[in-house]
Amino acid sequence: MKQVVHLNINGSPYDVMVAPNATIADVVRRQLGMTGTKLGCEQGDCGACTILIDGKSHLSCITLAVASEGKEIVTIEGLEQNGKLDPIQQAILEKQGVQCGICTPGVIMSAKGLLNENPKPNHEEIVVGMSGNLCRCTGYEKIFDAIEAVVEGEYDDAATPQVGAE
Amino acid sequence: MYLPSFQYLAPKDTGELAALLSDHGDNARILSGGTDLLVQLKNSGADLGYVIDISGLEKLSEISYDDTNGLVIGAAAKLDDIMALPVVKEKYFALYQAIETIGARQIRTMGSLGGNICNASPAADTPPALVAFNAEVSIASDAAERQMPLVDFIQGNRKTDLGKGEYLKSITLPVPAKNSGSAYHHFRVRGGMEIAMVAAALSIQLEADNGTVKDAVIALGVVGPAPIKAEDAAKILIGQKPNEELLQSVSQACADISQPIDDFRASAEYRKEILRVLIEEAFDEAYAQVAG
Repeated sequence: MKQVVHLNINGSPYDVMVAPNATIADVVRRQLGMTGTKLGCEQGDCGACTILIDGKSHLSCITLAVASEGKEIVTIEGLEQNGKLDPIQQAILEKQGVQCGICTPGVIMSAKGLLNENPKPNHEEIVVGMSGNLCRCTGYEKIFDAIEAVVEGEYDDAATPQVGAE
Repeated sequence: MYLPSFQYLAPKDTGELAALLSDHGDNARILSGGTDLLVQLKNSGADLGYVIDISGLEKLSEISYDDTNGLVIGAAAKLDDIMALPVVKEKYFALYQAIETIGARQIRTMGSLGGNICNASPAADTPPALVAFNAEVSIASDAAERQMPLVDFIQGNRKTDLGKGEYLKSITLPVPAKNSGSAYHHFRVRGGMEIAMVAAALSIQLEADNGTVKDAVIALGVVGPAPIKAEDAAKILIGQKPNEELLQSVSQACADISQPIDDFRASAEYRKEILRVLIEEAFDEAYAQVAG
């Protein structure tokens, strides 16, 4: 039986009619048209669907929408502020951390969650912290380079929205 | 890939949870982090009556430590919250190591300790570590509450002692003795999002003055349908000063009682060999924590 849930996504309230078995990924992609969140394996292995819930990285393909009322949800669409990309987005772009692109939104949201938890990770902590995101183009080094550049402050003058971070 | 249909119930307190389980227990699954349950439901495709979500129950998410009761972890406490507590790294290092190896950051953020236990996968990381600390579980229903050792609670592959209407409430790890150390070692091929092929956890207590072993608990993981408490192997250590030969007989005793599977990832014979190495490595690490 469908019910109305009140979701807070990227700072905006949405009242959505959902079935109990709808995941956040289903709701943002199919009902709200935010297709930036990607679905890869759809069973919690690949990290492509990573979003932030209350500032932490979560897998939206195995998170129920009905269980997410009252939480602050941020998708890739929520990072850009006033026409400026988030530093991680800018770094991934400039350091060529994108190949085919399907893993990219999840990688960025995962990196965002990592830096919320640990703003100054070293290389090893970045590698381990990003181990839940698969890139089948295997472009990991460029992704790590981009995150390291952000950690080292190279993108400090980019927009620094702290959406979802406490 | 869609989830099968079900009704979603989110009890507001443990009383309501117990009542819901009493009414719907045989047609319901308990949802905590969802990292196992929702994946299983997607793969099974079979419709289900109810999913009962306990992740919002604060009482089941509490973690506390004191020098009398030890570490008490609510069944729904998140893996990363447990790992972040200094006392866990300091006094229950094997548990810290076991949690650290689970899945990846997203999985540890979402997953709970109770879920890792109740899912009862033979390859689960935390149960062997918990067994090495003689963990006890509290099981509750609307009628009663009971306690039992974790090693008896997990009965086999995907099988626990939970009866109809019951839920796992908390996990208690006694205060470690003075001069004790612990370690969890596992074997796998990739770095992340992988399950262990063999695992070993142990906790040891040394005599204060001369480095002989006063007490030891050894737990074997992934080499049987449920964690194995290697009591005879642990006895070999007690009262002894460790040396290479002694450790070899301990690890041999562990390999002898292990029942690993034989599959495409590794043969049973190989897994037994790896188990011996893990036991010896884990012992060395735990010993060094105390003896320096």
